[in-house]
Amino acid sequence: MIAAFPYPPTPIGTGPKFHPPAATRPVDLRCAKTKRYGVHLELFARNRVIIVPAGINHRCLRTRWPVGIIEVRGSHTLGDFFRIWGQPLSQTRLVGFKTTRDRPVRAYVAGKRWRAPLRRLPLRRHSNIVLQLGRYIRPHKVFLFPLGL
Amino acid sequence: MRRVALVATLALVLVPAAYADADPASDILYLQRIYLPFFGEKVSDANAQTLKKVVDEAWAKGYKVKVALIASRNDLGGVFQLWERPQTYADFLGRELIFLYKGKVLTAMPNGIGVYQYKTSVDPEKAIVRKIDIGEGADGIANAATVAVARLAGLKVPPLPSAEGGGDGGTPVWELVVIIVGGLALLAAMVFFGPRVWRRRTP
Repeated sequence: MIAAFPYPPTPIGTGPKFHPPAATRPVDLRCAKTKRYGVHLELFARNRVIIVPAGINHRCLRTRWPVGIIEVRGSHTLGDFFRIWGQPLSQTRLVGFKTTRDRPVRAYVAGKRWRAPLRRLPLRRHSNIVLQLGRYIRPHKVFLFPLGL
Repeated sequence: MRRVALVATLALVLVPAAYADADPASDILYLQRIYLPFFGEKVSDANAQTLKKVVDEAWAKGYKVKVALIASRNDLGGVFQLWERPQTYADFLGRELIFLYKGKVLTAMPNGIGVYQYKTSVDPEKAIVRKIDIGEGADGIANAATVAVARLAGLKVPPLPSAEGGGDGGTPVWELVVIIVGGLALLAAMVFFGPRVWRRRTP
């Protein structure tokens, strides 16, 4: 079993909390007129995947596919993305899920724990960001992006 | 008792924790029937339409199958270690979808095709797909998946479009313009400077 299947997967959750809708709030951000680059965001709650929807469409930050890729133009933070999306993100809240301060939402960047406030996490080119609430899920360090992003 | 404790400890050490979800196909396939590669080389429209038609016919016949075409390592996102391991990836992908879909999952890569269904033996299906040749590029993979779905569902294999038209969608118009303008400029330079150079060299 272990030899044949070395990467135990995490199933996608069912129900509306695991499939939050896309939304685009008119957040005032400064965008550089530079080429967009990719950042990968993975969300987990209660040992299940939360889908980051396609269709978040701000001129600085957008998602064109429901695969967790955020296309970024300029210099922004995870907090900017969640503000545009209109979903909660804090030590105790992740999208539609809540937790307590003694079991906070955890963030990982390239597999390493991010201990500063979540909303300040910078969206750097080709970052792989994992947010988790509940049981620990081993975060990937690397994500391969579409060519040209 | 000591043996039980040892086994429990070994299980904790050997069984890896669940891995994060990072393969794009699962996020597409929980809603759709086909994942077409878009991280690298893409499938031509004709080949994609032929595959879609066969998959839809299979579903209409009651044979539920979802198909992931993986044409490059990048199409696996964070689980790129499963590149050229179509059967392992089929097992992985099927388990990611179990709460939303329990039908067959077929994964096609340049070196083979994998099949999985939750809590169901798919040995006969594996034997069928093992015999299918896979052509070059993303279109070759799409055509192989079309043949696989048709054979598994007991459908007639449709005429397959050429597997040579894949790639990144062809040469962009601006590149063609640059090539034509560049060619004309070179021709004009040869016409203008050619005779002068020829005269200088001729004694």
